[in-house]
Amino acid sequence: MSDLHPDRYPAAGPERRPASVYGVGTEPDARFSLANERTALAWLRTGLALVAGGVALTTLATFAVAGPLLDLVAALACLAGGALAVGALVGWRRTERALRLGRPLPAPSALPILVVGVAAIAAVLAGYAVVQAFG
Amino acid sequence: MLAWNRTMLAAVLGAMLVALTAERQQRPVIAAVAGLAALALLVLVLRDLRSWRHDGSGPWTSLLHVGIAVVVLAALGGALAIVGLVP
Repeated sequence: MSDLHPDRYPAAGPERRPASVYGVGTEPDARFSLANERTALAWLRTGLALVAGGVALTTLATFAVAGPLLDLVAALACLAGGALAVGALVGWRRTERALRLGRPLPAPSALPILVVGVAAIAAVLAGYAVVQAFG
Repeated sequence: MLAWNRTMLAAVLGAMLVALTAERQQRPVIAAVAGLAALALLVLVLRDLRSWRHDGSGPWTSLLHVGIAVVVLAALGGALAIVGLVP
């Protein structure tokens, strides 16, 4: 007997990882799984953007007046980018399990933290720019 | 699949940025690791993308590879910043 589901996805087996996700529940609508995947990829790209911004700041810090401050902000931005990447994987797993088990989707807990973090970095850099311009 | 194309492009460009910035700041080890990370990511994800859609094994392996690459790039960027803090 075929293991194929009506939507043509193979049944969960040892080759589908992680087992903690594909070993529970039933196969959801493929559109929801693909949307969850795209969301995870978007979070990964956001983390990459933070890392790229942090790396660019390190270049600025080599010739700026308050170099250590910029290096500190750069380090925090890189740290935040790495944390977002981890959060993307954790979020994908939690959402995929919720889809398979028919449970409510988890709230986007990283979003308010991201907003506050980016706003804080922007405020620090804006203050730095003002001090450099008028100081 | 377009989202995967965008993500891979962003990851490789990010690795290039880290490598070039490290090279400019005369940190050849960081630059070399960033370059190798970009190459490893390309090989692993492109290989997985070919097989995953055919046998339905799911996107987890490729997601994990990209996530690890971003964490490695974040660590390299953090290292560049911390080295700059040290007088």
